[in-house]
Amino acid sequence: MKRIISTLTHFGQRNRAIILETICFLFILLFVYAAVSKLMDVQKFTVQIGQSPLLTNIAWFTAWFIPIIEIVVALMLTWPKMRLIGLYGAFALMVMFTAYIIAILSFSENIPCSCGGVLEKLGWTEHLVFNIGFIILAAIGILLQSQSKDRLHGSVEYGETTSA
Amino acid sequence: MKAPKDLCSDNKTKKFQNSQLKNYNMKYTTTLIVVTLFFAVSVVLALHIAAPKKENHKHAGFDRVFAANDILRPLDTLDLRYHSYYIAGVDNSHLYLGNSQVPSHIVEAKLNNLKDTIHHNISVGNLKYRSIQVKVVAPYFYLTDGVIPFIYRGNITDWTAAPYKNNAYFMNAVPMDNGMLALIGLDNDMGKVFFKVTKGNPKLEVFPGLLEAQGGEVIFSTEGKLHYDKKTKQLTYVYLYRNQFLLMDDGFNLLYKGNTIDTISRVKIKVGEISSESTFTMAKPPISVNKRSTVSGNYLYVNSNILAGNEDPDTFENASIIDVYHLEKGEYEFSFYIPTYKEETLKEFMVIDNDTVIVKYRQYIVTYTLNTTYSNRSLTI
Repeated sequence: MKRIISTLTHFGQRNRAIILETICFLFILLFVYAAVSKLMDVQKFTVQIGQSPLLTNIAWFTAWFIPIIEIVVALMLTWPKMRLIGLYGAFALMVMFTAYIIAILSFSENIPCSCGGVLEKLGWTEHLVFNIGFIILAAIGILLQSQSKDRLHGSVEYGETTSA
Repeated sequence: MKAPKDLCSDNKTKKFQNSQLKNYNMKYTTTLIVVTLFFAVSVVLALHIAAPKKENHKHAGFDRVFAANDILRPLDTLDLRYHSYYIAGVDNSHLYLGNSQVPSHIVEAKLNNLKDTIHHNISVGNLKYRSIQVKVVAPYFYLTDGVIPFIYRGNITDWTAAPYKNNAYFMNAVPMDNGMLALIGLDNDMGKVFFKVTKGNPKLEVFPGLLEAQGGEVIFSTEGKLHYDKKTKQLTYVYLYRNQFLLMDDGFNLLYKGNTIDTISRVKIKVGEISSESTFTMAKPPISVNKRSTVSGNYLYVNSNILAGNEDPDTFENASIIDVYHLEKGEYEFSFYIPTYKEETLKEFMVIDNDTVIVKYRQYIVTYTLNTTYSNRSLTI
């Protein structure tokens, strides 16, 4: 087990940049897609959100706020300086969506879905698995990104050791 | 965080500091992740707490008369193993179940021994359907689909269906006697009306003006359930979103408009339009009043969604309240609870001869005897 972990960590260390890029790319794809499909038909999204017992009173606000935040996070992920904040944002958004799904599944009688595009076709269980997958990706992204940050800072000192 | 070079000239110290720095960073990052997680969860939690309390608990300006607890006694159970079954009809000794996944599949169960079942397969040839429903009124069964639309009929001795009527679109069809059916649909003026299908008459009879729209909206505000009772030959229409029901004879002559005991006389729904799909849908969770209902002889049984003033909210949420009305007198009689079964709540119910209650839970059928002598006012049949 220890061996597997160390191999995985080693793999993660070596391919850190590629893994990070892939994770960010996936999130940008997901958020831009979700946001655009919501904004394309804000009226529909507002009506759908209004059916949710948790959001019915703030439907109009949520219908604009969620896609805009999604786009802002996607933009942050494209900009290396803001990438870490973007990853935290993506992580927080995915946790919120997941908590929302759990809340609505367990406490509510009518369960509307308004995730936009093909994501609407997912069942609730698939949706949960999908979301949890993305939460894990975001956490991995945060860990890798903050590590590469110290590496950036420490590269002068540690450079010697590697070359030696 | 940068360690000055002269301080860590020793390779070991450097490595030590390196790993320490890494540990510190890992810890910091992990803490930040957990904080973010809690923050996100608490946002949703706050939404949940701030969400409007149960709408159906806010209108408790009326009281119920509760029957004694042992008014219901479980009689028999049947596990169907799938929840796609629905009650298609009953006759004197049998219960017929349709299946929404496999429309041609019928399960027939003996009422005095539910586990004694026979499976039937409806033969109908190649039939395209969109919202098909099977309705059994012995000795006939009907296949109705208001979207295609079609009405097929057959005999339950051989379960072979043939075209019966092809008429206008309809939303619901209720078989009556002598090959008559009552339909609910829209007339040319886009008003919601009743239609009557008669065997000999190729034309539909239209009965406008009975269903009343509220709030300038026709489709949702008039939503409800139509029942036909063979014994009294009367039709009862129970509105879903308001405290009203209509009693009509089999010629759709209005006998009277009755009220259920709750206080919601105006529909509480908000309809929103999705122009891109040219559809209308609920823009707010609607508050249903008379969620489910059934008629047996002179009695109307309503599974209400509205909590009463003298009612315990927990009991109300965990069981299904049934209000009993006398149709001839137009009066409320009493209420009783249908309990959950294996943690499932009632999905459909029927009352036969005012002494047997058939309840469909998710995938189970449970029959109960209804001992009305235990009620404060016993039913006089």
